[in-house]
Amino acid sequence: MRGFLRRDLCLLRLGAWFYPVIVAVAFVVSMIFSKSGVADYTVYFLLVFGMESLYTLMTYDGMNGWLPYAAAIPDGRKKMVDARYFLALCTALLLAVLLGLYTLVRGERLVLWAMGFYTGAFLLVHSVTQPIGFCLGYVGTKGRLTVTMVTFVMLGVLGGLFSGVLKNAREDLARGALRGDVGGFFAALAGALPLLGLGTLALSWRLSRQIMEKKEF
Amino acid sequence: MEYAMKLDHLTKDFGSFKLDDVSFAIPGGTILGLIGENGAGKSTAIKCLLGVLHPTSGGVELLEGEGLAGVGYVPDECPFSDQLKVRQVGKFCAGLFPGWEDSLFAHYLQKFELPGDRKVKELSRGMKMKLSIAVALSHRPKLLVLDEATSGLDPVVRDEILDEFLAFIQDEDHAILISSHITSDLEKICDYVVYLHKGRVTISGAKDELLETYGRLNCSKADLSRVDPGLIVGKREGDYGCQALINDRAAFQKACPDLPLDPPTLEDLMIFTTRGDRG
Repeated sequence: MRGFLRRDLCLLRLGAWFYPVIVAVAFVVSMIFSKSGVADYTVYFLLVFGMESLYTLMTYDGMNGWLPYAAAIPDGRKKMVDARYFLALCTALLLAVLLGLYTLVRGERLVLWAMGFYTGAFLLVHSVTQPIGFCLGYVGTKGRLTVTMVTFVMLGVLGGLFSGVLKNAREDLARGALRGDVGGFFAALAGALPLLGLGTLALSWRLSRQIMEKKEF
Repeated sequence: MEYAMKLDHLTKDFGSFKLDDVSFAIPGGTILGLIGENGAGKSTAIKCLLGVLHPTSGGVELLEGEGLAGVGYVPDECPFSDQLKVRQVGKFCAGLFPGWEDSLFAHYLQKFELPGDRKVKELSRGMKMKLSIAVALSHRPKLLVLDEATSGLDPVVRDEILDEFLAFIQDEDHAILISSHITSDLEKICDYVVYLHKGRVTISGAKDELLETYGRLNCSKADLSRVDPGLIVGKREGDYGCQALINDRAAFQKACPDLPLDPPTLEDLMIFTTRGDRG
C-alpha cells in the first residue's frame, strides 16, 4: 500500500497550492459577508475540495495506462483500493480538524455539529462514489457524470434533511435556550453521522476490493 | 529454473475476438519473441499472463509458482503520470515492488541518461521507455515481460534497449518475453518465437530451427505451379515473378532440387502465413 499511497500523495501535491488559495479567499469573503460559521463558503469549499482531491486521483488512475500496470503489480488491485480508502479517511480527519478550527475562529457554538455533519457527509458520499469510480472509471463521460451527479444529489439530500434541524437549533441557541430534546438529538447526530459514515466506508471498501479483483483492463 | 512461464491451453473469449487455446512456455535463460500482426492477440496473451485479464479457460504459471513478485513488466506506453518527476517515480515505485533497490534505479537512470528532476511529460518517447525499463529492472525481476516496448523508437534507442535485454539474460535464471511486430528486433535477440495469428498459435519453436525449416522461394509462375501445394504456406504472385514460403525445406529440395530456396526472415513467416490464410 505504501507505494500507491506515495503516488497518490505525489499527485495531490501537484494541485496543493490551489486549494489553500481558494479556501483563504473564501475565508476572507465569509468573514466579511457571512454571519454563519457552519453554512458558508469556506465550509463548502473545504468539503468540495476534500472530495475533489480524491476524484482527481481517479482521473490520474485512468490516464497513461496506469490501471493495467497497477493490476500487474503483486497484490496491486487490493493495495490500490486500500491506499485510496486510507487517504479518504485521512482527508475526512483533516476536514474535521479544519472545520473545527474554522468554526471556533468564527465563534460558532455548533462546532461539533459542523465537524460531525460535514465529516459524516464526506464519508457517506465517498462510500458511494468510490466504488462507482472503481467500477466505471473517472476518465470517460459515463463515470465522471455518474460520480458528479451522485455527489450533488447526496449533498443536496443531506443538506436538505438537516438544514431545518440546524436552523431550529441555532435559533434556540441564540435565545440561550436549546431544548433538551433537540440538544440531545443534535449531539447524537453530530456523533452518529461520522460513525455511520465510517461504517458505510468500511462496507464500501470491501465492495471496491471485490470490484477491482474482478475488473479487467 | 526449468520454465520462467507457461501458458497452458489459454483461452480468452471477448465475443468479437477469441484468443484460442494458446500454449507456450519460456525456458529459463532464454528470450521468447511473440510476434503477430496488429490485433493478433499478443497483448491479450500477455495481459492474461499478468492477471490484468482473467482467462476464460486454461492455466498460467509464472516463475514456477512465485507469481508476479519476480516479474518486471514494460507496457507499450509509459504508465507514469506526466506530471511526476523521474525521481518521484522511483520513490513511489520503491513501495510497489518487493526487492526494489534505490541504488539500482539510480544506476539505470545514470546509464540511460535520465535526469531525475525532469517531468515525465518532458521526456521523449525513447526516454519514457527507458524509464519504464529502468523501473522494471530495479526490483531485480527474474522474468521481463515487454509488450511492444520497442515500437515507435528510433533504431539507436532500440539497439541500446536490446543490448540491455541481452545483458539481463546472461543469468540463467532470467527470461524475457517480448512481443513485437518489429520482427527485425526479435530476430536479433530471440531464442524462441511464437507467431500468433487471429488469436491462435500458428507457428512456434526455436527461432534458428524455424528459419532453417522454412524457406523462401523466388520463382516464375510456371515453377510455382510445379510445387506441391502442401509445402506452400503462402504465396505472392506478380506479373514478373512469384514468392512463396515453403514449410519444409528438406522435402522441397528433394521434390524440386533445381529451385533454390533463400533463408526466410521472421517477417516472411508473418506475411506469408497471413497471405496463406487469406487464400
